[in-house]
Amino acid sequence: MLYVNLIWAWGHPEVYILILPAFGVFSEVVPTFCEKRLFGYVSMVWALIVITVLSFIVWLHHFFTMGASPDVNAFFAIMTMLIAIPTGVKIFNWLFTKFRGRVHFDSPMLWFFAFVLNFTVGGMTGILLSSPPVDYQVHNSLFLIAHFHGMVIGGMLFGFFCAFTYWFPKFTGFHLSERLNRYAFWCWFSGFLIAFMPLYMLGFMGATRRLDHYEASTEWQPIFITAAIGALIILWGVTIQIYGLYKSIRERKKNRDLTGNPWNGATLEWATSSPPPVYNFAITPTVDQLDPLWAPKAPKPRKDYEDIHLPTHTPMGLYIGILSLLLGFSMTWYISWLAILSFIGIIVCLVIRLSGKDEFEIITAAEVKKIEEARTA
Amino acid sequence: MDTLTIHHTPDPNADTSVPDVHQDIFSTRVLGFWMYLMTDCIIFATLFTTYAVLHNNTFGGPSSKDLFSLKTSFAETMILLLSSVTCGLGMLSALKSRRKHVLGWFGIAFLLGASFIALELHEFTHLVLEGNSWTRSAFLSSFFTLVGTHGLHVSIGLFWMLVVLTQVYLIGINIDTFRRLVIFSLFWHFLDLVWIFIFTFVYLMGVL
Repeated sequence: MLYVNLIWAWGHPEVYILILPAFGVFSEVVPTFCEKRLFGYVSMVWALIVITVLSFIVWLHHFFTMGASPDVNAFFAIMTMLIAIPTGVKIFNWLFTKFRGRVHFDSPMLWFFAFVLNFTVGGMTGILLSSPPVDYQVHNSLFLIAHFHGMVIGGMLFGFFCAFTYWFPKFTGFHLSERLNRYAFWCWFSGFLIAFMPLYMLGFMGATRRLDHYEASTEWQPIFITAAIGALIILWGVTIQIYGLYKSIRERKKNRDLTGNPWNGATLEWATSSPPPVYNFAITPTVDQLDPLWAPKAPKPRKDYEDIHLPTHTPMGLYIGILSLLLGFSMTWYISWLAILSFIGIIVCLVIRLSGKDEFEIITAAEVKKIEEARTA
Repeated sequence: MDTLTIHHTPDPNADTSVPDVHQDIFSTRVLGFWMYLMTDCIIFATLFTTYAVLHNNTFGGPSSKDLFSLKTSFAETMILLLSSVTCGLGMLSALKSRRKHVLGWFGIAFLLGASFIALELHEFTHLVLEGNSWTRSAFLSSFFTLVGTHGLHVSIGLFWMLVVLTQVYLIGINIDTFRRLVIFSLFWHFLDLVWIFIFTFVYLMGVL
């Protein structure tokens, strides 16, 4: 049990590492699509800090049934409940950002609406679970499964889809098909609710996770079938997303983003072209306020280019990432030959990377001028 | 000595309010490695705590007093300390760009590190063959996890040393290989330090 404690002492901060980037995404996306500055910026930052600190002292709620003393369980239960406060602050700040803003219903914003619903439902059931007496009843049941899938899919994954749609034109230079995005969104949203809401019911009825069979007399069958239909709708959403990506790449010439700022965003990444030049900014911009691109007086573009000093390109990070995925997969499923092969691959990539000589390149001022003139012409 | 110059702009009154376009790669790499070492500290702190909690839970099996020999662990300590010394001497030669001396000193550090691992493996196989493996008791499980993690670090360090020494042999001492030597030696001294704690808390306090 001590090792399980160690795993979750790491593992619970880790689930916040999953969700915090999604929070960051919404703090960028919501102001952009409401044409209004983020509500309560400072309280957002403090909420983030409080969540970070609390995330380190809640791990025991993964196993209230371990048999620790009531005092220990009570401490972790209270810390877990406390996390709802800063998270609620963030949710309300996003909602207040919409208040009297000019809300646009583009697909990134749809993911946000779905996120608010799913994350609130998931958060509420999380509060239920954080109470040890309740947890003793529903420990390892499908109620728990529905809770954390709500947080990870309805919260984190929807946030990442939102980010993908929002920044796609920035890093590729062309838009995803908005129509297909909407179809995919509605499949995901409805499929998610149909797949996971029944699991809350099943959990209350006593179904646990990883069952290999159940008796017909439990009368769970129709609810399980409903959940399966939901999963199929999600699968259809995934298919549309993959097709949408393929179609958008094929028709990329029609969907170019020539402005560099297709959503009228306020932050610096939208001040350069899409996709950005290799050095991002020819002259490092000076910023004296939040939302610099919405400033009443935009600074004049400067032309006094200098040489730019950059680290050279290397694909090794990508290769190591792919090989690590294979290593993790093969270790999980005891595929020893693949594990050994991918591990050796990682070592070889590392050695190649650490044996390189030219780690920098200089882009001369003349070249910068040429690139800048070609892109602003 | 120009080859080892690490600052691009030696301007004493540089304006630090804006980011330097010629970022000082040497100091950022060393800082990054220090951060890695701090995370490694967390792992070892966790494993030391685990050992402290579990070292009396012998489940009817042998305790630390029955199993550990101060002779072996003292030899291991001396070997590792000595390899840290030769590693330091290697760095002094690297500062003077003496390739052969660097290869020599680090070569000795490598051999010492390898013999440390050999001794440790010998101790481990001996324990396992006597039926005292990590499955025997919570105490042995935490012992193998803590000391084994350190041993794994040293083994990876040995491989790393080979790679860097091959570079020194092929390229010589320049700003890149020098930086890699600096970072490697940080790692090596860090492992030495962790071993001192293992020697004190696991072996000395276990036997006395």
